Order: sequence, then structure tokens, then C-alpha cells
Amino acid sequence: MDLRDYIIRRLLLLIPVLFGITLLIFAVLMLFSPSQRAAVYATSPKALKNIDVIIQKYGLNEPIYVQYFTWLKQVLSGNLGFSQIASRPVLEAILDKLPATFELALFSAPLILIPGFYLGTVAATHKDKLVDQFSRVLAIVGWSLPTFWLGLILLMFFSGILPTGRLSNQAVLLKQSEAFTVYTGMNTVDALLNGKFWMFFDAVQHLILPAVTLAVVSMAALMRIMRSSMLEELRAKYVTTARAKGLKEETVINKHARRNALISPVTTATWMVALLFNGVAVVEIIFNYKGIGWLFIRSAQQLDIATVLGFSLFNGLIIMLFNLLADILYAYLDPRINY
Amino acid sequence: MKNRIKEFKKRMAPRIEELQFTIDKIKQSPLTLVALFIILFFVFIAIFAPYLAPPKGSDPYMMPNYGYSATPSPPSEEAVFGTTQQQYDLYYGCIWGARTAFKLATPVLGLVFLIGTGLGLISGYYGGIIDEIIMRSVDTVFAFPYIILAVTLVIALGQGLSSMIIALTVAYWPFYARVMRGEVLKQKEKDYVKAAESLGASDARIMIKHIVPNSIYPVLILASLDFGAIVIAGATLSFFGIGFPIGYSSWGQLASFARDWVSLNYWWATVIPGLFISIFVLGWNLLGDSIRDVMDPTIRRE
Amino acid sequence: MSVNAPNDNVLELKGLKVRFDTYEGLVKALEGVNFNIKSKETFGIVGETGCGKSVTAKSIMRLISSPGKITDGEILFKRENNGVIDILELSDKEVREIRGDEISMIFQEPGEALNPVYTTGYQLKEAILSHQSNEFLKEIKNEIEREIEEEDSYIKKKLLNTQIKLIKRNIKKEDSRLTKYLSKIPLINGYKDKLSEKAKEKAINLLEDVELSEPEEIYKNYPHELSGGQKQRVIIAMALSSEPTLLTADEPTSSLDVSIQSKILSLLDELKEEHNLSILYITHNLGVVAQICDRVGVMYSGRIVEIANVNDIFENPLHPYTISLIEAIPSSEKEELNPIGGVVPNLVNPPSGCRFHPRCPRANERCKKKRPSLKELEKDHWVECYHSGDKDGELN
Repeated sequence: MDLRDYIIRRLLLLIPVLFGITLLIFAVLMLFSPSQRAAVYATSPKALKNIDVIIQKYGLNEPIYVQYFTWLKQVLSGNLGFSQIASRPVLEAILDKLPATFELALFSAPLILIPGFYLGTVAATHKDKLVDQFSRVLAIVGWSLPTFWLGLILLMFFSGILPTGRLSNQAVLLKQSEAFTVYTGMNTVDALLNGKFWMFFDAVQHLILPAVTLAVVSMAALMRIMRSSMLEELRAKYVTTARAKGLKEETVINKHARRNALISPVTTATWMVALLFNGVAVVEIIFNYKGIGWLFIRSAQQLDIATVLGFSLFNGLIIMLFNLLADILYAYLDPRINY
Repeated sequence: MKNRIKEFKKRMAPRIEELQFTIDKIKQSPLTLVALFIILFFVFIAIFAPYLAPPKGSDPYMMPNYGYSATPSPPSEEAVFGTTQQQYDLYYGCIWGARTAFKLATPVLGLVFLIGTGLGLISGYYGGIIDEIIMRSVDTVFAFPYIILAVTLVIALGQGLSSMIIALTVAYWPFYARVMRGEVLKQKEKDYVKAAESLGASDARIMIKHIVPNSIYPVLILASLDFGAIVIAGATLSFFGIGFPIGYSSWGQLASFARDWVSLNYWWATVIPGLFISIFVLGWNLLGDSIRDVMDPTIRRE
Repeated sequence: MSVNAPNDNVLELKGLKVRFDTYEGLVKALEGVNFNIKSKETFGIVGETGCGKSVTAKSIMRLISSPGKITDGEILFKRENNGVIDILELSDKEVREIRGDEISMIFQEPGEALNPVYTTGYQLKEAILSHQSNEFLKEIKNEIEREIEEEDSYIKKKLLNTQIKLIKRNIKKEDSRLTKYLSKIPLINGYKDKLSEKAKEKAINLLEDVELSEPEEIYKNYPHELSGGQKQRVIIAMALSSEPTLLTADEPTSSLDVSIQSKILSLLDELKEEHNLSILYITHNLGVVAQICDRVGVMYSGRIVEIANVNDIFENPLHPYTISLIEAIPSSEKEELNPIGGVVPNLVNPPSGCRFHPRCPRANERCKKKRPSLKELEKDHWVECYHSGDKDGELN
């Protein structure tokens, strides 16, 4: 079988999980009263004024399984309800804020991946040496600091030096002006595409604190996973074979052991992405960075259940997508896998 | 009688030797002692909270506040750690916050451990459709970042300790189920289990007597590493103002009160509650890390 | 001990000691191992699990890893240029030059000895290029020089000249970053394809040498796509890639089916003749010893206790341990088996004196106190026992 069949099989395996995700969200939805639930079906603020009409129209007093299918039909047609926080439909609100979060993750990724993989490898090859002890302490401390507190502390020291939010007022004005074309919704990319370098730097400045804060926990986790995976590979017999061939230790480690050691972090990729989303919610609130995490927490605080549930559903789907990507990467890294 | 004692000693000798090895290993690592010290310190605070910070109102978990001025005031005789926004007493909140942390994380970890290992055991042992249903549920929950899931559940269940316990339990059990199932699958193939099966031992007996004792260690390691993570998750919920009602002693909430006063001029409001969480969690993580080093059979002997 | 035949030895171990520093204490894995391997012979080391056979094999290539350490002794090796060196005195870099080039090794578990994420071809090529890239590079240099003469285009000439410069740098083993980065630039690293092509050609030849059918297919396969026997053949091919003088085989057949086992053994025998190899063959299986070895050393608890020609070992064993080993072989003539009594000794606190004395039927007070030394009792038959020579144990 080839890769295409493998991907199709993986997609088929996702179906029960997708079903599970909708069931879980629907179960949470049913904890609310019909009048609270109405917001999930509304498409405009006007509709929200006539809750009884919605309850009637969508049969919110019908038996549960009937309601499940009504709700599912709504969801599949792209209606996640009306967000009171954003004063627009939930899906629109999420898609509007998505590029900001994507941009944040994009800037955080190198801060997670490079030191994570590098320090993890170095710690394993220098087991029990100073570097290993140092990286261990770094990992445990990094893993012990609540993201929100780390964010607050950084904010305390860098307030006045590094700004919060996404852009300075000046840049916001430029972004809203007619001369500026929004291509991707990611400020850094759009600024470059419009040739406005000062705006690019402005956006990067706003990204530094959130990206660093976001990276710490995931970096610590990746470092430890990489270390233990690398240690395991270094004990493998093929490493002795490689040494017996007369290869340089550098080649033995970088070509042979590390290539195998990479497989294990990939199998935890879904978990790492979930970890990142937890951080996103915290970081965006602290730095007032208006992405989807910010939207979610704000709506949770205001009990805007349509947005909360809509976002959860959306998030579940995104993680499934990453799951699929991780499976493909895994197949690429490990030739032993059965397509 | 003497013979019996001798026999018993002989039978137990390998176990005692292993225990000795474990204790030696722990002694070798000074960090473990630091960890134990930190944890005992917080246990002490939690137990003696009523004496360290005598309650002033009817509900001891509600923090007293001295006036209604929004600006935090610096440490003084009345409030040794200073006060935070709305003049809530930081010292009082931090002391009783230790109790809150234990009251939240202990039941969550206990429930998660029971539910997770139980379902993992059943799933791995029986396989088939039961396994399929349990593992797909695990995958489903895994599709949600635990903070997102917990926030959503608390919104639905309403504020308070019990909602948070339920929410975090729902978010965390799949880790345990998955690890336990993997271990059970490994043990199930071993000859001693096959032998017990061929002797006609009941399923329950095989599971409890043979499989559980041999597959529980990785789950225990996971649990020892998770206490801190659960405390942080709980604190994060209350930082968002979602977990506990306003004024309830909780480190996360105290940190959220500092949200509008993040500045070196009001350092105490940000730094102190964060230090309490971080040191507490650090203690658990150090302990978890050395427990893993000591108990994980793959690295134990290195 | 002093071994005769001064210049015929490919390898000679003198008083080799290896220690493992563990929690349980200092494991005295090798306690003064002495033996020699003559040119073009197959020398077997036979013994129970845990007696130190594998450690001995690994020590020869200095592949003992932490917490193990070679603490004493000499490993004298005759190089291809006839100079004799002590492997323990070499720098890490010098050892690497010998590993896989003049001494190579094949392993017990072929399934785990190959890297699962690379094709067999890649791993073979890597072995070939780690020692023979210079020869190939020189050939390529000559080819390119010829090309230049025939080339008219100025630019192409320039390009080929740059390639030659780069090849020269590589031949000189200039491990500078510059060489490394330059070698990654397309066009001027054109010679690399040629290098890879040559290595592939050689690899296919090697696969044919080890009697693998469809070598082209196997070259492209990943290890998990091969059978145990095929994997072991690939590993043998890898070990032979740079015409070593000594091949160390650490129980290479014990994890294979019996039928495949004997095929691999006869293959090794053939290859030995073809390539003028000396072989150190490590096993716990006396049957294998009888089939493949010329001389045998019997190992017990970190010591070689008897060395003799293979026939002498079976027909005239002198050490009590060897005698009991041979008696323990099941055969159709015997009515019952005679397993060796007692247990393998603890290596942290080994028995005093002769390490075999607690299990030895002939042991007396002297054996407990002082270890006997290896003596040549009959011609080319060395034994480490006070009582050997008087088989009934009457003399003390």
C-alpha cells in the first residue's frame, strides 16, 4: 500500500473520534437550559431577542437524540451560533482571530523546537554531566512555573520596553487605511507584503513576550522527551554496529541515534499541540493579544456559551488535523510502519 | 516457627534488597530531600492554616479585605505580605490557598487514578468492543487541550470546588487509561498470566493478583509527575476568574487580582502568590522526577 | 604467559582486565585474559553466559561503554603493514581507523544490529565510505582530469577544476568546516554522485559475495523487510567491506534457525579462505565450535582456562571445567545428561583462588588459596589447573 491509502485509512479512523467530539460538546451543551442554549442556534442578534421562537424552531424541548441531530445539522452547515462578545457569528469570529494565533504559534515554534531538540540531545549525550544537570533543572523549573505567572513576571520587568497587544496605534491606523491590503491577517507577513518594514518590526516587538512565554513549557517538555528518547537509542545495538564500522562519534549520534530518537517526540505531537493551545489561552489574555485564545477566555468569563462551545468544537477539529499530520510525519520517519 | 520466619525472610530478601536500593538511590539525590522538605512545609501550612491565619468571617476560605480601595497596599503589620486589589489580605490568601490546592488536586488525582487505571485495565484485558469504546473516548478527550475542556465544563457546571474537580478529572483520566492499557497488553502476553489462565483462575483474580501489581508502576510514575500539573491547571482556571467565586482563597485568583497592577511598584501583588504556586509545584515535580528515576525499570540501574 | 610463534600472531591478548562499576559493586568481568590468534585461523572462545566472552570481543575494538572500563593488559594487533601495535595505547581517532577497516565485528542479534530507519544499501555504503573514500576519490580525480582534457567549454573546465580542488581537500582529511560546507554546494560537489555510484557498485558486489540472491533488491530494502539470515549476511558483507585481517564474530548464529545457522557457518568458512581472514568466533555452543574452529579457548568466569586445538579439546580435555562441558553435551550414545553442578559465580565477589573451585570435583585447599597459572601441558595445549596432567586427581 502507498502513502495515499495510509492517509485514507487514517482519515477513516478519525470518524469515530469526530463523532465522539460532537457527542462530548453536545453533552456539555445539554447541561444548559433551553433558553441558554438558544444562543447556539441564533444567527443574528435580532434572533436572540426572540428566544422562544428559537426554542420552538429548533425543538429545544424535544427528546435528546432529536436535538442532537438538529444541532449536528446546524454545525455541519457551519452555524456555530452567534457570539455576543464579538457581535458576529461564532465561526466568523473565530476565523477572524485565527491568523493572530497562528502568527503567535509560528513565532513560538522555533523557540520550542530548536532548544528542545538541541538541549535534549546534548543532555543525553552528556548524561550526568553539567549540561545534563543544567538542562534538567531548566526543564523542571520551566515545567513548574505556571504560564500565567511567568507572563506576569515578564510583563512586570519589560513593561515600558516591550509593548502588549498586537500592534501600536499608529500601525493599527495604517492597517485600517485603504493603502494597506490585508492578505493573510498575520501582521508581520502582511507588513512585509505591503513593504511597510516599520510595521513589521512593530508587530515583531509585540510578539516577543507572548512567544517567549508560550514557548517555555513546551520547550521544557520537548527537551525531556527528546533526552529520554535519545538515551534509549544510544543504548541500541545498531549504535554499537555504527561505532564498530569506525564512524565518528558525531556521525553515530547525529545520523544514527538522533534519526531514531526523533520518532518518539512525533508520537507525542498531538499532546504537544494541545499543550500549546493551553498556553495560547493564557498568554493571549495576559498580553492582551487578540487571538482565538483571547476570544475563548473572554467569552467564558462573560458566559457567552455559543462562543465557548463553538470554539471547543473548532479546537477539537484542529487538533484532529494535527493528529493526522503527525501520523503522516511518523510514517515518513519510521519505515517500519505498515501503510 | 523459626523455620517459617526464616522462610519468610528468604522469600522477602529480594524485595528488601530492592527497597534498600531504592532508598539508597533517593539518598543519593539531594534534590529529593529538597522536594520532600517543600512538600512537608506546604502540608504543615495547610493543616495549621486556622492557627497561622485565624479566620475572620464565617467561611474561612473567603479572604478578609481591609477597605475597598483598588490600589494594592504594601506589606504592613496588619497584612504581612501586603494587600492586593480591593485590599484582600495576601498572607491570608496564600496560607488558605495551600489548603485549596490540596483540596483540589488530591481528589482529582485520586479519581483520575482510579478511573483511568480501572478503564485502562478493563480495556486492555478484555479488548474487543469494550476496548474500542474506551479508547475512542480517550482519543476524543485527547482532542481537547485540558484547559479548554476544563473551562468549558466549569462554565456548564457552575463555579466552585466540585465543578473544578469534575472538570479536571474529565480532562485528565485518558492519560492514565492509555498508559495502563499499554502496560496491561504487555503483561497479558507474559507466560505467568497464560499459566494462571490455564489453571482456571478467574478474570478478576488474574487482573488484581497478577496484572495490576506488574503494570501499575508506570501509572504511579505518571501520577507523581501530575500533582504539580493539576495544581497549575486549577490555578489557571481561577486566574481566568472561572474556577472560584471572587474572594475565595486561591493562589490563581490572587495572581489574577494583580493583573491590573503588574509593575515593580506593586511587586508583592504579582510575585508572592506566584511564588507560592511555583515552589509548591516545583516540590512535586522534583519528587516526581526522582521517583521516575528510581522506579522506571529502564533507567533504574544506570 | 609467553606465547611461542612470535610473528605468526594476528592478535595477542595479555592479562586483559575489565571492570564494571555498578551499584552492586565492582564487577570483575575479565580477570587477566590471555590468548593469541594466529594468522588465517579461526579461534573460538566458548563458555557459559556471563563468563566474559562478549566483553572480550568488544574490548578488542575498544567498544566497552560506561560503566565498563579496561583497567589493565595489552591487546597486541599486527597491522596490515606488519607493525605490531597495542590497541589500548591508541588515541580514539586511531582506534576508529582500525575499527571496521582492519578489525571488524559481526553481532549476536542481526535484527537489532542494523539501524531500522536506513536502507541496507545506505548502511553498507556508509561502512564502505568510512574507510575507502580516499581510494575512490583518487580514482574519481583521475577520471575528472581525463574529462577536463576532452572538455572544450571554459566554464565546465573551471567547474571540474574546482571539483578536483575539493577532492584534494577531502583526501587530505581536512575536517574544516569550509570543506564540509563546500561539499554541500551543488555542481561543484558533482563528484559526490560518482563516489556514491562507486560505493553502490562495491556494495552490490559484497552482497553477491555473501551469497544473497537479488542483491539489487536487498540494497534498496529496509532491515525489517529482510529475514534474520539475510540481515546477518548483510552485516557480514558490511564487516568485509574493507578487507579486514581479523573478523570478530560474537555468537552470530545463536538467534537464527539451525538450518540457517549452518549455512552462515559455511559461508564464514568460505569467506575466510577467499579473504585471508583470521576469525575470533565467540559462542556457547560446542557443536558450532567443532564445525568452524581451528583452536579453542575455554572461558570461565573472566579467565581463559584451557587453550588447545579443536580435536584435543574434544578428545583430550584437561581442565575439569572443559571435561564437564563436554560431558554435558547431549548425544545419542549417552543415556543421561551430566549437567554441570553449582552456579555461575558472582563476579562482584568471585571465589578466591581458582574461580572454578566451588564447582570442581577435584578442588582442594590449594585451589581455594591461589589461582593456578596457564601452563603448556602438552604441545600447544595450555591448561590452567593444578590437577590437570593427573586425570584421576591423585597427585596434588
